[in-house]
Amino acid sequence: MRRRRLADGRRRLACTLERFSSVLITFYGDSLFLQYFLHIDGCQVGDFIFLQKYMRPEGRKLLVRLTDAQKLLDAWTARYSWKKGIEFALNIPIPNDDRFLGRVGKVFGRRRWALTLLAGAWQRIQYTPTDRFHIYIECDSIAELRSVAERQGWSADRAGRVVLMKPAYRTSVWHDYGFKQRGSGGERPPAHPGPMALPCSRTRDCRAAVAALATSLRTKAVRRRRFTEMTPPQNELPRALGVLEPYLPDLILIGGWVPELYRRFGAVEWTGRLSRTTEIDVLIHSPLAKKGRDSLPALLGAHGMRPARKENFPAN
Amino acid sequence: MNRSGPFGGTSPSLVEEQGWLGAIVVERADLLAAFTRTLTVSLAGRSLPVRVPTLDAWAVSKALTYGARQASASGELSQKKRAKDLLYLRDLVFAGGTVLKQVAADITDIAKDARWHGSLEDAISMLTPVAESGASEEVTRAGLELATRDSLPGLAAVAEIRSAARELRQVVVDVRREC
Repeated sequence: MRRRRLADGRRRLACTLERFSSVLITFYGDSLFLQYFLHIDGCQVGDFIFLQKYMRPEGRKLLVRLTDAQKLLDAWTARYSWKKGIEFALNIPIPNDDRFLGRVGKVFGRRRWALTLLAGAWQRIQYTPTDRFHIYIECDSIAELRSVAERQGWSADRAGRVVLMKPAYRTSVWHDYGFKQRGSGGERPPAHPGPMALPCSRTRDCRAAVAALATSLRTKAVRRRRFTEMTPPQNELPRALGVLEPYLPDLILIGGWVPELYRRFGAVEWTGRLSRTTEIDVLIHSPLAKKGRDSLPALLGAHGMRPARKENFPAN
Repeated sequence: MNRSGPFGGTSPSLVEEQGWLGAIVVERADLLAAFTRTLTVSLAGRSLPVRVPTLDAWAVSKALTYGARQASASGELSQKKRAKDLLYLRDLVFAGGTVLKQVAADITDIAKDARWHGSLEDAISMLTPVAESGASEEVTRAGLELATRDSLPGLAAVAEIRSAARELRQVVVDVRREC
């Protein structure tokens, strides 16, 4: 019991440090308020000791600033342990690697996924000592991946060629994440999940990769990572409006979609980017008379939308 | 249930005649309902008339919502939403001169009606701390989100968030003075 608590504590601290590092690298050279780091999931005030060397006071506030990325990356890679990820292996027949990777994208839908550095290297140059696919999949628990595998008819096999992994380093594994278009294979993630998810911290290649990254950070050549990843429901809005169509005269669409609709359909010259939202907020007056129409619950239910929670409440 | 928005109550209430469908009772939503416009929205090959609030009503309401969230639960979700409110307002103010002129012209309509004077005054007082005080937590958070989205230096992004609040507050103040 005590060992498990200790292990949990170490895992939590490792994840927090990883997120601190990710924020520091994203805002390399910028000064950030210390309070900001309190918003990082799982962070505790005691963890600030890690930030101590980056702090400097300004008036009554404390600012945090990273000035030497190389040192931080060195510290990070020294701490990195690939054993922290939870994984399970599957026996999947793979006649063609590219087609299989295309299929992975479809099977896991909107979840982010990426090959580990070693598996990615195997895809580029097959000199590396593996022919197994180690794949990070975005998930809350390994059980989610198991149920997806079961639905696909993939059987668990310790010697199987495919290893699905729940990443322990949830922030850095998606660092600089992006898709590359492939003509036949569909969308495919980059061959390496990110500079912080290096498989081994003490090889020469790894050190070289870190040094190269640090150099590119100094020149600000690295694209900044998105701090919050949102998947805007681009396809959900037309769908929702289509479902609500009979009631549209009685509804007012409010919330974050309003500027986007003005930008696209409001005949005003709009410059700059907009933040998207994942919710569709609608203003109604109660009672909302049916007037010969199907009720909203009936319309929503007919399109597979159900209450998000047990209580009577919004659908999703 | 702990909620993060400007809700008039702690739980959703049933919408009459609509079965299980519930709705959150939102305070001061009458402003959004009073000033609307219908946009013809073409999505997925269909044209649908969609009622939306006018941009000025939406902006004033966003400022009020930001303030109301401040007064409510102070959890993580509430912080995120407050930052998001500020980011939305920044996007509106930085959407170009045409949009801002349109907002300023439309706010005049709101200011002419004495019913909404309280809302405008409240919006001004909600925006003032953002515009004038040092960077608060939600301003910093909004700035960081903007910085990552638009690849801006963090401090420049925070400055944009604050100047947007200042600009919008000034628009409302000017209109109130004229009416």
